[in-house]
Amino acid sequence: MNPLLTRREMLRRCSTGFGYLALSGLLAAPVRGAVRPPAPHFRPRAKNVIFLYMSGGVSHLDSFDPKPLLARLAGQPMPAKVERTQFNKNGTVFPSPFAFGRHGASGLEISALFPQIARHCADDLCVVRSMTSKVSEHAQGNYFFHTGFPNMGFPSAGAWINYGLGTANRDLPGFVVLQSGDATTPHGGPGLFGNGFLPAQHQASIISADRSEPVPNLTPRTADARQRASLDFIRGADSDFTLRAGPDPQIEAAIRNYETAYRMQSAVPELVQLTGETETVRKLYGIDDPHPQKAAYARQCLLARRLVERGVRFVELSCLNEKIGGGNAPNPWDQHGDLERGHRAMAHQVDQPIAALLTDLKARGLLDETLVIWAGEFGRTPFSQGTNGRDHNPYGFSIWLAGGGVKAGMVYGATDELGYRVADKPVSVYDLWATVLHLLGLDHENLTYLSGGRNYRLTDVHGEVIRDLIA
Amino acid sequence: MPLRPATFLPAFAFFVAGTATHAALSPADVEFFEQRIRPVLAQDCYECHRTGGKMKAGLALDHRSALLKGGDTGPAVIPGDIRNSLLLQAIRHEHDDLAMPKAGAKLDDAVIADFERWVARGAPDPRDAPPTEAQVATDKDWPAVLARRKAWWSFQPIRQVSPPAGAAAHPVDRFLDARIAEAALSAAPRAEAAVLLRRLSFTLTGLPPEATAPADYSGELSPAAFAARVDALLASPRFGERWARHWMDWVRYADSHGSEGDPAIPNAWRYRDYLIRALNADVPYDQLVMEHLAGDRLPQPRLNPVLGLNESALGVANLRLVLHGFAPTDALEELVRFTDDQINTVSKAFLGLTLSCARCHDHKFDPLSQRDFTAWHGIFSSTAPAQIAVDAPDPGDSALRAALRETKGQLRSALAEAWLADAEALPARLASPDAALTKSIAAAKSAESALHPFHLLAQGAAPAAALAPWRNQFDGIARHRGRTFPQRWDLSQASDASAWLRDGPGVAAVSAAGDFSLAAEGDRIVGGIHPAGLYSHPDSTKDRGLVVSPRLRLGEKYDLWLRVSGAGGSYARYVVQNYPRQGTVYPVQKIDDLSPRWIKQSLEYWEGDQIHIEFSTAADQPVLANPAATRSWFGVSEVLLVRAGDPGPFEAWPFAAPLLAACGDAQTPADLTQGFAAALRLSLAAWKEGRATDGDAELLDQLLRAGLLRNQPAQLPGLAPLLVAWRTREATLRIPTRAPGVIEMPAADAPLFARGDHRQPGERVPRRFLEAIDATPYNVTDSGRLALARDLVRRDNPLAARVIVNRVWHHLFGRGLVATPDNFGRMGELPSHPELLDWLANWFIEHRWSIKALVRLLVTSDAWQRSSTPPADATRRDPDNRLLSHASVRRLEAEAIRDGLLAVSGELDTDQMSGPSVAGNVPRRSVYVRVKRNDLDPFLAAFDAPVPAAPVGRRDVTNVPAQSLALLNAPFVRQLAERWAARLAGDPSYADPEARVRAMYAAAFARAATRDEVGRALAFVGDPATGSARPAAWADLAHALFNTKEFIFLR
Repeated sequence: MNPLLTRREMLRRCSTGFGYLALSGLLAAPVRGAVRPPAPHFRPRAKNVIFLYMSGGVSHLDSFDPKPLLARLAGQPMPAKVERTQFNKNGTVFPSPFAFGRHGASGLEISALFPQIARHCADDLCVVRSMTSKVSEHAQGNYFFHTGFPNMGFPSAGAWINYGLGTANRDLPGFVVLQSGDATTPHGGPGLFGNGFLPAQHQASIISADRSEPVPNLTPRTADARQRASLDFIRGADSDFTLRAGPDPQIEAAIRNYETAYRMQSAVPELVQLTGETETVRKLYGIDDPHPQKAAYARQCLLARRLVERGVRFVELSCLNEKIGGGNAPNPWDQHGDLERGHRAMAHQVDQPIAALLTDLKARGLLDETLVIWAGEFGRTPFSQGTNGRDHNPYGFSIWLAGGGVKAGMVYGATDELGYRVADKPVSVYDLWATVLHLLGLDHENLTYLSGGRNYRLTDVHGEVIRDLIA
Repeated sequence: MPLRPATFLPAFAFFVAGTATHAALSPADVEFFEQRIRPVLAQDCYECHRTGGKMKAGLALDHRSALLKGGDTGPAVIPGDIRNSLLLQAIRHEHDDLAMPKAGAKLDDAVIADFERWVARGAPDPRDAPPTEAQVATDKDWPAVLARRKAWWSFQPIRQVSPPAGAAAHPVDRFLDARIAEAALSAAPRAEAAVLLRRLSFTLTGLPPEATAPADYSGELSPAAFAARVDALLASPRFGERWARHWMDWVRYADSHGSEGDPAIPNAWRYRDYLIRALNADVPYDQLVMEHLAGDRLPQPRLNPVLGLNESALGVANLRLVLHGFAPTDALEELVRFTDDQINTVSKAFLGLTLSCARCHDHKFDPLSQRDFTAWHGIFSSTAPAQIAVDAPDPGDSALRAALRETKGQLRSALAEAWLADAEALPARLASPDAALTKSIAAAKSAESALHPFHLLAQGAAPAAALAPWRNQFDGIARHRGRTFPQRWDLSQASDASAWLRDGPGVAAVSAAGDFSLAAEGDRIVGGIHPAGLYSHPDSTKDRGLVVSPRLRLGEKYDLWLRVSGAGGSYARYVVQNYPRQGTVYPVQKIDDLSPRWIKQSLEYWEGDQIHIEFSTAADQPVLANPAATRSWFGVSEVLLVRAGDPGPFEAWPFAAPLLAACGDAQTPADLTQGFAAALRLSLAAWKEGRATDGDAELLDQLLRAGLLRNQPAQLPGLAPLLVAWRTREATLRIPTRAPGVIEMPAADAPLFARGDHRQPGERVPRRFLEAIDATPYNVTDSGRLALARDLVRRDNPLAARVIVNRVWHHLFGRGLVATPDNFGRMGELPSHPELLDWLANWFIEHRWSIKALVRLLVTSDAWQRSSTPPADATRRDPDNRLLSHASVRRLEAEAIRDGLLAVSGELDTDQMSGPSVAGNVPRRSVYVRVKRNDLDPFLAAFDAPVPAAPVGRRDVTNVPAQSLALLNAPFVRQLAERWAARLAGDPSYADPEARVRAMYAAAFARAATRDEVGRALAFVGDPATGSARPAAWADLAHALFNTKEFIFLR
């Protein structure tokens, strides 16, 4: 038994709900690191994060980083040193097929890919045009973007944030990954959302937003009355066992776990079924859109709002596959070929739902305390792959943030004239998470956990808070 | 031992002035400071608290006045005041927010005591001014740091200790009881028989007890009966299955490599089976550790005559259980990372050390340097990933091969004779070709075909013109003679081939021109007649072949040219920085050409990287291997590097040489057909006599494929006895057994990477063991794996025995004497019973490193058999139960829960104890369930089966709703409940409901049901309306029993 956990605390921790609340290492709990009071290090600007992950890698050159030079050099060889690419099928300079325009009072430049976001949300966005990654491959890139390390085994950002802040709703998990339709886990697998070496309660729960069983094994196999009778029988047997085994917090926790599980059986479907949402709201998001992928993504966006309303700390959304030009279910934005058609379809899928999410959050006063992050694992090359695709480019790409204490209607950093490499104010994945943690009131250097003889951080041994992004 | 303030305060109270100058210090003060204080300040504090440095909290500790002035929160030291000096409070960790050194382990008690004595003496400090860079460098010099850190307990020799005096008969109890008595606690009594038997069965075998009669649980259990039960369980095959799974945790076992694609690790399961056999056979632990590093290189490997295996070689597979990224553009980074994965596993699993933490810099806390890491890096990276052959030498093998070759020789003579007749018939056949030949001629559009002249004739060319393409080509040979290449290997020459690693009976020697293969089945006799080169299949296409080049650094942009033939899914590839997968910029070619052909692969992309070239049979690639491919072959005769853009090698078309020579100045078609026949006769004669040239061999091969030489058994009935004899023998040749492993590459020391950056290689560090134990460089020509294997278990290495004894203790008692089984360094926990740990380590070594003996010793102690009810005061005074006054209640591991469900429901299949891993719905023990890194079994994962990324010596035990939901609602669990209920319903001995209930409780909990329980269970199944059971009621009861806490907890 862990001497650091009092019986009272044990019960407090055990009696809580749906979340994968764990009694980590109870039999042999790590003495250092495991138990720290969840509390922010300083005054937070945001409480929750919605992570709109554009798996596969969105082209910055076709979305938020206009490069007129590419049109002038169209079809010419790249006039700069080219790094090793993932496919080594490098073609010539490939201008964006999408027109850019200035939007909102801020005049933010957004391409025709995202008309709704441009029209309704330009002044809410904080575009970072100088994002970089260390990795130019999906699985390692996804791991790096989610955990700060390019391989499995480390806690996801959502897990770190829950570890740092604790849960705000004892009946829901603090870290939820939403999927719908054919959306699946990006390359690298469920470890992207794992707790790594952190206690298991911090791992993500994957909720299938449109399945009859949104969480595995949620559906009872017997009628409710019968199950209730079984649970009563079990409880009786457990009471006997507790008497025989002596009082043991682990056993008590396991008993209470059944009550949580029982409640979850009805609570989760209710949440997912979007009960209580008006027709206006459904229309705003596009829940009933004829395009099935868009409707499915809209469902995730609306559910994301419902989750942050209920205090879920970190919600990650998953794009669906449009099956164009190299895009597959785990990496739908990955247009190694047919970029124009593929990106158009992918953008159509997410544009209205995301614009609706930002609008809705704002209307409900939630945007101030909710940090929305839009990013893929890397950008794409300014030169073509083959004739009409783009290869991976981790040397400079765009992401955006909104709400949650960041400046609105601004652009930070820049790539070079070709849009190939960062030219000004580079931002690393470490810097991004350092900044996100800061906005949540956490000092990234002090959010640590001892594992394998070393104090680990989400930002490894790197990362600077980018203060220019903070409002 | 901490000193009490009272001891010193009065004596030194007057000294508080604290202005002692250097001159005023006594030699004893100076010596004390220099030896005990300065090294600690320099090594543990200066990083953050140095003048001109970070000066965290405004504090510098690098000279006297700064120390006394202190930082933002006041003076660091108040001379003489050991209670209020902030520095002491910080290192004693008196405040949560002021615990120093930050992010590090607490200083040793002895060091803290030194600081207290120092402050009590008035903090005499000879440092008048901040130190120079040079002074700091000396103070933080690695030898100085190492000397201090080597004093850590786990690096001290294992002491010879005797159990203390005591009443207990068992030596382990004497150690434990002494401490229990010291704490004025009493020990819990022995657990009741049923509890003990269930605990014993699960702990030793991972399964509930087999006894079925409730009466078995009620009686007394004498020590003799208990010991007999222990022996029976140790002898059960289930023991190895249980403990192999523990071992698999220590070495992050997985069946796949992870990342995008998550490819299988071919034959990983053979390593799991090896562990099960080894643990069941109680192979000495030190032997197993050596096998894990160098089982393929032991002078006397352990052979398994029954299975025909070299067991030792299977141990190496653990080195291949690494994660592999997908298609990394930086291949060297991936190499360093997966080598780090190997080092991390070996150092944690067998030494309890975190050597990986010294990859980028010297270890922050332990006596492990970056040079140690680099020395090991050199050892591991002097190998390459492979599938290795793990067959025991077959004593009959060489005789069988000799017989095969003799028969083959006889067949060669007989074929040559028979084909002379075909030579006679050749002019007529070529002059008026039958339908099949006409088709072949029509297809011979390329001059690379021997029939090409007849193709040209048929197109209307003159006979002289029909030979022109060959003549022109041959004229070209002269121009290309003397062309040099950046790199060229002629693998038809033993001198060049000897520089390559060759593994397999065929490729062991260069095959002469004209060597041929026989078809092991089907309607052909000869498979092919080959030019000289390295071939995998002179005896059989069952044989494995692996041909690996030395390493090449690509100094500029090259193309790679390979002249190969092969079939059945064999591979030709280059390997960048040992990366064994394929994908995007890692092309791999499957060879599918019966005749030799040049293949080109561009190496431009990999300029600057190190590569090697690899040819293998289909089942012999480290990752791409197809384990189901039983027959394949390849041949390779030449490998070239050409500067990118330069023309490729000149194709000499050797088959054309004998034809051109024989056809001379052919003027008529008859000249050509006669010339062909003459060439054939000459080539046959040369072939028969074993002096064939490449040209002869390729000509014969072409004519054979064109159907101009008879090659069907029915066409050559006279050869049938020889062919049958050969085929019969060939059928008895063993298919090689492959397992993951590594091959030795030309050994090289690794460079020290500046700050761990692999793009900044520095000086090379000799391959060797850890300098804290022995810094002597290895005097070896190989990688050094065998030397490292021996060092891991050498007698003066105090870690190996302590670590394994502690692991066994952890799995038996639920918590190790050292609670951090993978970390015996400063960031790990201290042993609760250091003397006992050393006594056990010695005992274990003396008992030939026998894990079974150790298990027997420990479970026969009183301590292990105690009841889980805490004795009076134990919960308050020893809440952690570190003194083991009673048994700790434990939740069963994921595998034991799943296996328990299967066993209790009667569905568990224990017959099959080997083979490829299976899906979670197969009713075999969980140790056989596939561990796919990106798709871990959800049931096992919910109950804390580890994520296989790094060693896990101690699993988490969590309590998450997914567990309750799985037991309540998973179809798999429900199905087992239904099967169990159906099985009992079909058994007449349980026709009586009460008997059935009793049987269910006995099976589920290994104890008799109480009367109360029987009553409640009967009420649960009974329908109050009719008084009889609903059809599903018994399944509901079974399902409910699965969901009781008693089912998943062990007390």
